[in-house]
Amino acid sequence: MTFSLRSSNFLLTLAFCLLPCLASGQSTSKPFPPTVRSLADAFDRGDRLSNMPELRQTRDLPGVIRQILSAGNPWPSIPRREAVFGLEVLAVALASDDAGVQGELPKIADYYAAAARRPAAPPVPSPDTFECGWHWAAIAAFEGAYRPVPALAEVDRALERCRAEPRFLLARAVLTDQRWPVLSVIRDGRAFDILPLNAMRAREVLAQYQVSMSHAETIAEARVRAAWYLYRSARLAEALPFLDNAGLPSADAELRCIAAIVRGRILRGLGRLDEATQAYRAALDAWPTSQSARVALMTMAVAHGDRGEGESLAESVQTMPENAIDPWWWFWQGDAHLFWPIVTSLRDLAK
Amino acid sequence: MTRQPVVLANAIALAAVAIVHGAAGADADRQDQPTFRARTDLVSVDVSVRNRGRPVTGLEAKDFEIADNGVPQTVLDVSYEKVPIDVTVALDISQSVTGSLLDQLRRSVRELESDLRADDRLKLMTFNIRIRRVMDFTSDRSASDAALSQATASGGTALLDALAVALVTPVPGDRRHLVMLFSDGIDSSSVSDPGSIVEVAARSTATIGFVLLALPPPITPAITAARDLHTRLAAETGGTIVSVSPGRNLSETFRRTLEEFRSSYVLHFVPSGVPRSGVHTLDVRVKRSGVDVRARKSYGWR
Repeated sequence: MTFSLRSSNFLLTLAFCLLPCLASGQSTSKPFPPTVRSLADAFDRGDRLSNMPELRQTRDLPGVIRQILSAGNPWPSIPRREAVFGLEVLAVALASDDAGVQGELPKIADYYAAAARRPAAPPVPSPDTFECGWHWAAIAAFEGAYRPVPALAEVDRALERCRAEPRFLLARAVLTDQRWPVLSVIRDGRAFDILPLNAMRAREVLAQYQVSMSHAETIAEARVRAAWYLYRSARLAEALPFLDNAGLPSADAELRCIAAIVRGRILRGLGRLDEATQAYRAALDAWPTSQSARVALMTMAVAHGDRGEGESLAESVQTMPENAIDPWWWFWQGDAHLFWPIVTSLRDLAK
Repeated sequence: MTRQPVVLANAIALAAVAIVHGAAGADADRQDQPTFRARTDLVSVDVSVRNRGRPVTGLEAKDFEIADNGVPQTVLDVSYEKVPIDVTVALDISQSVTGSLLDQLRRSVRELESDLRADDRLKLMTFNIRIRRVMDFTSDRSASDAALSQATASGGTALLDALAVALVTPVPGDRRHLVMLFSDGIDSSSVSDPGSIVEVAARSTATIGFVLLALPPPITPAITAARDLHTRLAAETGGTIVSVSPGRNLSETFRRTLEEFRSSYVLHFVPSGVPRSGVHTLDVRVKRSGVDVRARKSYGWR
């Protein structure tokens, strides 16, 4: 899968955006530090920077990043290529545990956000699809790294530029949820708090999801995510109505699978085991390669004493095709799974 | 010997051997040459008995007390180190398991293989977000290298889902099943919630041996909760949990986990005075003072 359907409008626009400023061309021969030159050449070849030894094996990643930022644009004739290059630098930085690298994150985001805006010099232009796409990718990278605080700053910046973008509003809700996590365990019909709920923060998270529910593009996903939040807060009875009226687009198999899994979790927590099994079957119908739906059905079969069915499902999980994917894997990371597809689209635009 | 680690529902299919009632006084010779007659209602329980960490040997059926749903049962027979073992090794290969740690895991599995006996078998699973069986149960002692050669670390950690799959996967009724799970983190992407995995563990026939890399500070509430759950799951199946500091010898921990599992007794009884359905609680004791007894806390009737 490349994109979820619910994100496709934005991406389609991105794919057809023909920006005159993005002329074709290779990197220039301006003398750059060898490391930066090597990375720029790798980028031109289509290699991922995260695989490059200059970034992967260095013992001084903060130093390399500072070198990149101070070197300037390796593609003066194609200004926005630098912005896409910067998204990959951001991804590398986010994957690092180095405290020094974390300190560079705001600088990386600031520098390349400016590069995504063209012309960079005043007067500041209106945002175009490329720029909004760049912000979307940056937010997705932060979501995937579970770095909600810098990500929320990026959302603010994105919404300043791309004011009507519903996905950024939903990203704000997802990141607020990430920032103040709650986790309860339902056991024997009782809730045990692991990360206790703070009522004021809970209201804030739900308010953010409510904002996204007022936009047609994000209403269904916002309802599913709100239900999942309420489930994790052990507010099961409140969670279910969000799914009952989610208005899931029939063509969005990814979201229907996730919604069915969330419904199954809630129903199981409520002790409605047969209905939970039905929900998990619906998840598998929506997304036949969902490992999570199979595992959930397997545990339900075991709970019902049907070991034969459980064993059959266990076997199917272990022998799934290598390329089988499951939308549940990335649900908690917002749009992180869209990072590379967006980067690929932006790369095409910035040739 | 015919054996299904908990309830012998399919023992008739394994009719090559049979169990004899009234073996409560089994002596050492009996342990060497167990004779059984197939029963569909036989329950088998792994019991570790240790004194200051060392296995206590030479125990007989009369030395054990076992209660099923609180009702005392008669131990029919006891065996020690006689039942062949199926080991499922489930390895976390999520993003954080890189470089030398991955090499260490490969080495640990190789050394574990060398500790297996001729009739023991090894299965390998890997998991990050994806759960894969990279090698099915085999007695081939050189298969793990090839199976793990392609393993690369990436992605999140579906630890609970992988454990559930490993526990539900059946082994033949005449073998014991150890699920040895290695992880360097906590779950991030499972669909299984703690309640459902505990239920699976309670109904499974396997024993869990966790080998967990010690996590650096700060120890968050989520980490504490995860470790509590791991401890509960190990206890539920009569298993073990070992926390290994980074850099310590993983191979040694793998081998010790297997050895502890091997050096335990297998008790057999036919439940009486209890319903033949649902999940039953088990309480196993040894009529000796000063010994540590570890056994699963429940079993699921088929």
